[in-house]
Amino acid sequence: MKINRVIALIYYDMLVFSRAKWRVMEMFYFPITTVVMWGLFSSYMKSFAAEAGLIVLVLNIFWNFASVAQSNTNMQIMDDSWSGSIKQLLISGIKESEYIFARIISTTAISVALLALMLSVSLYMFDLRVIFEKPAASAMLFLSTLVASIAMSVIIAAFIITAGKEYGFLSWTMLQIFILLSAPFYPVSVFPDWLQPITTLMPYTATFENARALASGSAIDNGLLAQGLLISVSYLALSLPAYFYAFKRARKTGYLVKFGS
Amino acid sequence: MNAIEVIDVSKKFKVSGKEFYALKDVSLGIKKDEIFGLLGPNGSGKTTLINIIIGLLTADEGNVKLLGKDVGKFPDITEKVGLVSNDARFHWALNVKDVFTFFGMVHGLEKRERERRASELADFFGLEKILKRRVDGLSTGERMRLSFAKALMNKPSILLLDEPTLGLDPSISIKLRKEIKNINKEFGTPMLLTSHYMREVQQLADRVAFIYRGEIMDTRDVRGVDLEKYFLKMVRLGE
Repeated sequence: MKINRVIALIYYDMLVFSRAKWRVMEMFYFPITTVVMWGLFSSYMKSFAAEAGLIVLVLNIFWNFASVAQSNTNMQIMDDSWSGSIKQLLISGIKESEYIFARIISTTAISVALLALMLSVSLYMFDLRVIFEKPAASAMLFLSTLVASIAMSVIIAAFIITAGKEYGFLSWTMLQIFILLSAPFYPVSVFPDWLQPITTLMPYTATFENARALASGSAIDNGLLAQGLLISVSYLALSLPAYFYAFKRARKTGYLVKFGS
Repeated sequence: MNAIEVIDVSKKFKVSGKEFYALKDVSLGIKKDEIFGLLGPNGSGKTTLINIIIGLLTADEGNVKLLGKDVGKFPDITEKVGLVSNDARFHWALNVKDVFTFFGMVHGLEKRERERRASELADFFGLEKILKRRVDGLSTGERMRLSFAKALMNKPSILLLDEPTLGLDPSISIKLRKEIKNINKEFGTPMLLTSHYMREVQQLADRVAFIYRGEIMDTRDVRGVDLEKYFLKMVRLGE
């Protein structure tokens, strides 16, 4: 991996991001307006179910953070495909490892900026202090969410490269089913018995459970914290070979050429 | 040692459940200082071969060596190859200067060197007045000139030219042909050229190969050959 190529790609991503207004809207406008909306809901709920309103607000912050930390990488890849520029990138010697690594870094920067903005809005508009009262646990939960989202973005990239660019819509839709099964606003026990073992292995389940505890002022389960991080890292470890295999296969089938045309 | 060595390369694709050979047992050797023309009708396998040489596609059988190194074993060797193709597209949000800056960074050029090289190339290709223009506002000719300039940013050891003057107005085409010849003479840069303009190939290439339905039918010196007649004769033979 050559650092100059990774830096060049980050520079490229930031240029494109700053000039493509739809990307800025997608990554900042929707999450912030969603948080404001649920913040207002939590204010309204204070009078009769304060905890419920708070849980919805905190989990929405996690959800939006997870979503942007995944979708930005995949949107960048699809943007390269739609604009036809991916061929120019790959023929200039950029390796698939550099290609994804740079995107992960720029996405991390964008999603951390979004997180800071969402937390600031929630603190100043809705006095959301629970996240700041347990900074270490909160940081671990956000880290776990970030790692899981990076893993999901790599898995989705592998899938799109294998299946073709007509599956580009997965960039902004696929995470939804994983979030649903990761039980964001409700415990795993609401799922049918046969589904519960699967939901336990979803990338965000353990993290969301602790996030609910954080929002309701309950104690953070350190075992669950470690489990969440372990699951996220496991997803990442599995996603990378899948990504490299997808590239190898796409070079063989000709999908890589089609992906860039 | 040849600059480009294509050894028994075959590539099959599947369309609607049926397999067909896009390339079959293709072998070519392009010498260090020559311009080699690859002729053939549309769909004959020229671009597939270029995609295999550049590493975007892997061969089912056979291998490609660039400057003596097997592309499959040493993929980094493709860094030394510049590709100019008629389908070159850059992200619409970038302007011409951004393209130079970005690819200069990719090739590891220091800022001062990058700016000097970008200025030289912009000057040569007549892009200096449109450096701030966004890529989606460029004409076909301007985009093609940018593609050419970008391919030369890292002073490549090998140039692949896939229909390099397609859609360009004659004055630019003449200028580009002169430059192709100059680069080849001055630096001995070997080039693989595909073109539908027989006059262009006649003017530039030292040798040509004719490819038809994925197979090389003939390889010969250009001198003394009327390429237009040659092309038609080879198509007839292939049918």
